[in-house]
Amino acid sequence: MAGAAFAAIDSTAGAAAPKTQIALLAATVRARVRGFRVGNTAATSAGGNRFVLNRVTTAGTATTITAADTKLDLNSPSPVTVATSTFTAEPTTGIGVEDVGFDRVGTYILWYPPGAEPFLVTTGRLALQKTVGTETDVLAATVVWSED
Amino acid sequence: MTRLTKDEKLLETETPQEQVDRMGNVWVLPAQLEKQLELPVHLVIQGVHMVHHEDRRAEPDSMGYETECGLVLQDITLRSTDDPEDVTCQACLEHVS
Repeated sequence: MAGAAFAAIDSTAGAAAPKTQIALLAATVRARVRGFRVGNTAATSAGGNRFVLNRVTTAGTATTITAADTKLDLNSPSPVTVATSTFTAEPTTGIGVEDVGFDRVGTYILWYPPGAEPFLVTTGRLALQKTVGTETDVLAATVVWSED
Repeated sequence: MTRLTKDEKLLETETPQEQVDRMGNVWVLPAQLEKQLELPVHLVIQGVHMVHHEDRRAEPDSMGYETECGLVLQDITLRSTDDPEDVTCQACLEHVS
């Protein structure tokens, strides 16, 4: 729905890389990714993590989140974009649009500057994926988007 | 004697679908995650296949993807895949066979 913002959450990675945390699937409207947050819920020692946003080309196997559950404003209409989490089979890798590395102790937060956000269009997919990280701790993440 | 929390009591009585209808993909107890993963895995129809759903007519620009067994992805928390080998929903399997 035009103008409204949404958030998909997931705290189920719990596996070494590669591991998809959250993915979005566009449908008829443009989805503008506003940013994401990701953090380890258990790490107490340093370690490398690399996360990417990737335009994956298949869906993998995951839990599809009810659209209404992603509303930030409960009075807004539901999003058209489909959010998925809790992956048990990985999507197929496509073009990358974001690539960050950080210490797993802490939380990584990225907000895109207005006008420089990645979009999903037509039936495109975009996945937040851990590509480096051997720990199997549970990771908590949120992806925020709006629909234009 | 340790008293069970409300969530622990519901673990004993709720079906996987009842649990995700109540709390979506969120989990607090590891057993809730395990129960979520017990949901049948539906096959999403491949390619561009979007449908208007009756319950969504109030939102005229809302469309949704559909599973082989006829569920609209945006309407319900469910397990889905585009890999036929992962499908466990009997209705989806019968529909494609």
